[in-house]
Amino acid sequence: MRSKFDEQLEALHIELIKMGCLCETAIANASKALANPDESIIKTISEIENDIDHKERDIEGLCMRLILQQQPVATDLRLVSAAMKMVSDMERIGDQASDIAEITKYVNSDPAYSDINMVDMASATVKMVTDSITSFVKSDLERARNVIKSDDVIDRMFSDIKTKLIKYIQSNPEKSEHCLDLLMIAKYFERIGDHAANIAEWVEFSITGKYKGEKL
Amino acid sequence: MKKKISITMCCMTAIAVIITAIAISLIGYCKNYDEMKKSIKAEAEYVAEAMGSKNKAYLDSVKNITPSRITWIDDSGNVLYDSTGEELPNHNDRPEVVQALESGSGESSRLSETLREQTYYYALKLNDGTILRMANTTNSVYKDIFSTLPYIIVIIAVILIFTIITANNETEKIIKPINELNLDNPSSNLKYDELAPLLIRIEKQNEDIEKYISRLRAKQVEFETVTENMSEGLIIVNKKANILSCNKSALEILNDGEFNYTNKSILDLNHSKSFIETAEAAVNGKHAETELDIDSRSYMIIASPVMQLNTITGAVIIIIDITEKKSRDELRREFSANVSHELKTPLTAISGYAEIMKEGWAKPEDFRKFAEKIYNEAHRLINLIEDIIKLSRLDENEIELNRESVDILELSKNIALRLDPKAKEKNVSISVNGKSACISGVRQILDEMIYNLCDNAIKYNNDGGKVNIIVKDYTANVSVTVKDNGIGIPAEDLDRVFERFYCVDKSHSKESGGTGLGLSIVKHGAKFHNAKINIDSTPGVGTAIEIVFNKNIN
Repeated sequence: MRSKFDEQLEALHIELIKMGCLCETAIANASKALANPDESIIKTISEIENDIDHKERDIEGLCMRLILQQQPVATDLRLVSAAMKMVSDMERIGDQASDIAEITKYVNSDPAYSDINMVDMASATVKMVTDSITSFVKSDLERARNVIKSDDVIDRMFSDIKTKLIKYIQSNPEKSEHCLDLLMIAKYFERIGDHAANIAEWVEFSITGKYKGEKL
Repeated sequence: MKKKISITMCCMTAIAVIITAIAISLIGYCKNYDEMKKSIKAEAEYVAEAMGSKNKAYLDSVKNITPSRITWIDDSGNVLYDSTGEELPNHNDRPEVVQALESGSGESSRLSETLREQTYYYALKLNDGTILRMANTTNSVYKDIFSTLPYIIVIIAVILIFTIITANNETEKIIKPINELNLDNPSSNLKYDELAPLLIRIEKQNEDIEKYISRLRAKQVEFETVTENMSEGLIIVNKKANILSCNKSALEILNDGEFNYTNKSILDLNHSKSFIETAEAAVNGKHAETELDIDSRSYMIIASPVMQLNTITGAVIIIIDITEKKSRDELRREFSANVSHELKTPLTAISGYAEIMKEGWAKPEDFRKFAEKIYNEAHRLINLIEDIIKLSRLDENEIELNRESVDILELSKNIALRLDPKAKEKNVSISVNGKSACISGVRQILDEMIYNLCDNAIKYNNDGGKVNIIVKDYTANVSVTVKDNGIGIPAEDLDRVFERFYCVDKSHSKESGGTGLGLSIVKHGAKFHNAKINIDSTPGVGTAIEIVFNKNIN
């Protein structure tokens, strides 16, 4: 009985890693698309997004089966419940990566693009997502906490970009549409950062049993 | 074993007690029955003798002193008297009566199933032809046995308790040496002869196992030593992609900290998409390769399935660092692209001028000018090819090792003399300072190196600039520094100026006549002489390039 349970937990772990990998790929591609918009990359992202949706359903099913059939307790229960929360964050990351890819078609030719350091923000976000997944894979509490902290950095980057774009719109009102697109992208990245921080928080919960410093 | 022995002993005891009880009951019964038979017979004979011609009244008097039943029957079977006083039917069909009528006496016994009683009849023929029958009733054998049953049960219970205790103690005593067998050294405890063959066999097998294990261990150590010292990462996984073995290099490449890989999936080591796909392909029976970038280094991941009897039992994954190879490949590609481009440029010019002249589009007075241009371009081409040949020779170490003691100061003065016309042309002054210092080296290469440095210093100088060659002799080293106050090199280009065909100011390279190979020749020459190059440059202020030769090495 226990061995079956262990097998299911292991399968859950592997599936989460795979889903995390898909998210990383999606957002890495999105940031690639930002620098060099290419139909094939955009298509890849939407395929990955589809895969992520499937994986989310699979993992949720697996978690449900685990809870119903095995009635896990303590750490195992924490892992399963954290997994259920994590997949929805991962799924959102996938969606937002594909949203970014959709907008990239129109923006990067704009001179405003070179003024703002979107590339820095993109790579910082990619790193956050990668780190949050890695912290889960390796049960690395330290890394998870760093991810949670680095969310503030992303937030600052977003407000920097926003300020710059406001100035740019004031001096070039005809470019305001492009600027808004850029603002959307920045917002998406900021949201992805939030989701990565959420994942890290659930990782922290599955390790320590505390969510945002409080016992659930 | 203990349990089995106890149960067997208890069963045996119980069966023994039951059989004994039944046997004793049967024997007792038989004896009683025989006694009864004898006493009935004797009684019958007494009564017959005493009865004589007496009648019923006598029988009535006898009835009160004997427990036996007395029946008097006439020769036709009619009952004349019965001590029970019951009216009885004709008795001439009773076996004992029939026998008595025939032979003078007869006996029979009848069992009453309902009362579980056995009645014994004895009939005697009297002198007057009548028959006297005596009968007595005893319990049947079954009733006897049943009546003793409670005692038997009590006895069995007592004996069983006793047996269980004894059996436990005894089996404990028997089993103790077996439990205490030292299986690591079986021959040391030969307490039971019966166990000897087993123990000897175990001892032999122990030895075999030990040999086998030590062989395996040796192999394992050998394998680990080999894999641990590999710079390539090696991971062995089972068919569920769980790590079975993983060497140090693989852990260092894929993981930045301590990692206990026991029972972990390979995905725990790295979860990039290409890595997952490669590992999955391998455990599904397909050979797969991919490139993976980790921390700005490139790795080649090669995964092959492990097959045993046509089933996949796992996979072997090898990780090879290909960063150097990749950058070399890139340099080579860049070099060939550059070479073709650099060779084509002068050729295009030559062909262009030649075409103009051939087609007669040029005025005859311009012929000289075009010829000069063609000559210049051809010269440039020759210079370029010469440089490439020099470089490739340095690359291949093809230059004859004609080492001799070379005075760097003298060599520098010679070079300065040769370059003087060129310097004057650009209005640059050239000077040589320092003490005479000798090193052992190949004169031709050293000449080439310093010449190229000075040539560059003149080429990339301003009008009225200065070039200074300083030779210094230290205890262990000799250094030659070529210093100018020319245009300088931007900091971001400092690392790249030694690359082939790298020109800081690409737009002016042709004008200055540089091939882009000068500093590359210097670099290779320095490598050939084990010398170090220090470069210090500030844009707009000047450049100083120092070559430090080690006296001891050369």
